[in-house]
Amino acid sequence: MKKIILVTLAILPLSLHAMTVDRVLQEIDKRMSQVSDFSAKVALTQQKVGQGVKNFETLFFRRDEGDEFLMVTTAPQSEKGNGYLRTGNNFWMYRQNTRTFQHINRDESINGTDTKAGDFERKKTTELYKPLVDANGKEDIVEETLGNKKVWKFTVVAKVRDVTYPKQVYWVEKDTFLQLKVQSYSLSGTLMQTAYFLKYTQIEGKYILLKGMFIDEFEKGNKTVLDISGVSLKKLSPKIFTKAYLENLSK
Amino acid sequence: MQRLKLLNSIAFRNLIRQRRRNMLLGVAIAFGTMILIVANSFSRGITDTLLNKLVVQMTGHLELAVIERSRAQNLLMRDRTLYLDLLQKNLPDVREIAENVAVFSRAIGIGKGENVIVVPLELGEGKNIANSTDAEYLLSRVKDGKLEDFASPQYENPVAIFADKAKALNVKLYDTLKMRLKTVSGQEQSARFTVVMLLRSESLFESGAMFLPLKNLKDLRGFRPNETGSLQVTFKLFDSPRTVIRLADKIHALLKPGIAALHGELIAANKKTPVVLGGLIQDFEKSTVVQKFVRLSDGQFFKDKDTDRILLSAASAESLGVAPGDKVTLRFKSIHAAEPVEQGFIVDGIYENDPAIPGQISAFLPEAGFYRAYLGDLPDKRTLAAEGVTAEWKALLAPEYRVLPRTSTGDDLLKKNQDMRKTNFYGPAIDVRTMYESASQVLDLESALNKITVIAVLIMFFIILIGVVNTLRMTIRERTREIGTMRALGVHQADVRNIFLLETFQLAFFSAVTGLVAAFVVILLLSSFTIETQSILGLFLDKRRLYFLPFVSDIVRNIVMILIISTATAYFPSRRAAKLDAAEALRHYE
Repeated sequence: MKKIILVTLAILPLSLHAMTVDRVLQEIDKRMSQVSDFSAKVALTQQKVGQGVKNFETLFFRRDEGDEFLMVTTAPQSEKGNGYLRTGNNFWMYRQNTRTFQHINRDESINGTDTKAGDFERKKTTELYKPLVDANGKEDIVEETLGNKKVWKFTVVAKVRDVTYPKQVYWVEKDTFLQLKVQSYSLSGTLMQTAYFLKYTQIEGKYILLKGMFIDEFEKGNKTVLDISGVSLKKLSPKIFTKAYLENLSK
Repeated sequence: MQRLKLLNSIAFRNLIRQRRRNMLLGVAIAFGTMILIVANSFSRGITDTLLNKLVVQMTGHLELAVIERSRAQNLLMRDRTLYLDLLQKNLPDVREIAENVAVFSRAIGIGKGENVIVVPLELGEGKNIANSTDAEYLLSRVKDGKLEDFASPQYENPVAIFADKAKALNVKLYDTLKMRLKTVSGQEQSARFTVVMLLRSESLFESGAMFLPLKNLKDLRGFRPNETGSLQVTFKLFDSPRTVIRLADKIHALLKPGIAALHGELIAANKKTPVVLGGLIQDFEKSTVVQKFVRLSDGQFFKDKDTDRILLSAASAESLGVAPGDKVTLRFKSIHAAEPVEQGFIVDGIYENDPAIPGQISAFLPEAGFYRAYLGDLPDKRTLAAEGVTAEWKALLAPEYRVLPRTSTGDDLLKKNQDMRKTNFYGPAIDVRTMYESASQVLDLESALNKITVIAVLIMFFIILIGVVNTLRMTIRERTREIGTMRALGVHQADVRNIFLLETFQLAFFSAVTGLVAAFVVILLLSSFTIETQSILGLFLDKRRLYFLPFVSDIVRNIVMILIISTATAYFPSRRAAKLDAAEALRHYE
């Protein structure tokens, strides 16, 4: 009996640390892929040193089938009516003042912000990143507490060259596998950005991010706050993801 | 000839006789000429500043660029030596072929941030550090600092910046600043830089640049030694745009892409087999060639966007003992490293051997996966022998690169980029462009400025010519008796007419020459003032002064135009005067 207890106690710590980075990433990807069609109102408040605060509001629609999306800016006034549409391999930018569509590529900046068109592509984290391992092949993953939540903290490095941040450190909630905090590093290892995922909600059993904050660690004083509201997961008609619909919405 | 001399001297004498009236008219013509010459010279000066200084520095006279995945902003040339060789062998009188790896960045000084463009510096080696065009440029503008500090290991990423930018960043000589920039693959990069030289800017355009040794910039941006952004050629002698365009067309014609292929070996478990991999372009399944000759004996076709799937020939699959779903490793030699590189794939399908398939190809990758492997580590041996490959197969197999059509204007260049984006081609596209496409908006600006100048001056001339006509009419009216006398003495009608025409011609000529002298005086005066400005007008200044570039051809053209217009305007009144009846003219009283 004693032997059984001892053996159980011996393997218990091992099983506690049986969690691997790949498994956590898979869970993160699973959470993201559960969200099918999606529509919401997205507000971005951007604060830059010497430039004050800028507020952007957009209507965002995403369709799971075909990974299509449509975005229309509703604020500020100078950008109102401008939009973006992706269907298949085509990515268009719509300019309300000229009523023209222009083909853009994934490097194009969205509304002059740091967000690029390529950021809207649905990519699995497991395809882009792999665990950082030490000289002994041991993954860098530990249990921690963030605020009052138990989290897995781990480090990943890019598998491919076309990701923005070659190295990231994640804090992921243990129970729900929700990302709570992500620190992103440049190629030279400098901390560039800290992202806080502050509030989630559950709709139809799926977790949806409602509020996030992105702090520029390189140029102190810059930050962006993301607010998502009016979320709906109802199936979206393919008619929404057309140029005609975007033009109509822009009026 | 004697007659013409006589008429000329009569005309000249008449001109002197009517001093006051002719003086006024002459001043008006001289003023108009002066304005025309000054305006033309200023317009030429703007073109010279924008085109030959600004644009040539940014793009060279001719540029060879490689665009991957339609990312026109992110140029990446994987085999620099190959293209450098092509340019050096086929272009005459080259002053410099520069590697363009410049990048927009965000610099953070002491409490302040500014957007900058980091430009590569190519300096000489060792003691000959000053022996380069870039070194000459720095030395011509140095305010503080030493060129030798660029070579000193003491300074981390030594940069030269303009004094006004240093002030904006709150840094001084030998201070450190940090910068964030993007690597060639779009990754975030950051580094610390030491200011080793402060420069004096001579135009608004310059002050946004920061200069870093080429090797440092390439390392930071993730370029491997054989890679570069694009190659920009500047010629020693530059006579006309046509020459540059002709040379660009020549280079363009020399670019003949072959069929791309990866030569290496496939490994699975302990087995290996040599392989030649071809890439199947997007929508390959619709091709009748594929439907007819690439028949699957097991598994399925991969999708266009797949990057880790492979189709093996039955022979290769048998050699390796693999089936669909199994993993294989491709190993091949790259130009970037001595050691072979390896990439893993999953077998999606196995196709039957068929003699119609270009004999050497023993496996296929989809376009996305093929170019990912091909461009990620450019193979040492990278083409397929084209003999015996039919046109249908050539159209189906991934090419080494695509050659974009030549364009002649900025609008065409934009349209070409748009069309390229629509194709979503995963491979490289080569573009040969001259500064005239890149700078066609500058040329349009120059043309617009010229047109505005000409229209404004023509309006002014129109006003002056009204004066000419009016004065001539008054002159003829007052000299009616004189005309009558000349006619009575036997002077022909044509000679009477010609006297008046010659008078106008001489007046216009002397006034135009006076206007020319006045123009040069004005140019000298206006270009002697220094203008301090941070506005967009600064783009038009050279060394903070207004810049005029008079052309002999423009001056001659302007003067000839003035002479022609003035003389033509005088023709009808002169003809009317010549047709006056002698008797009636003699009876005329004012």
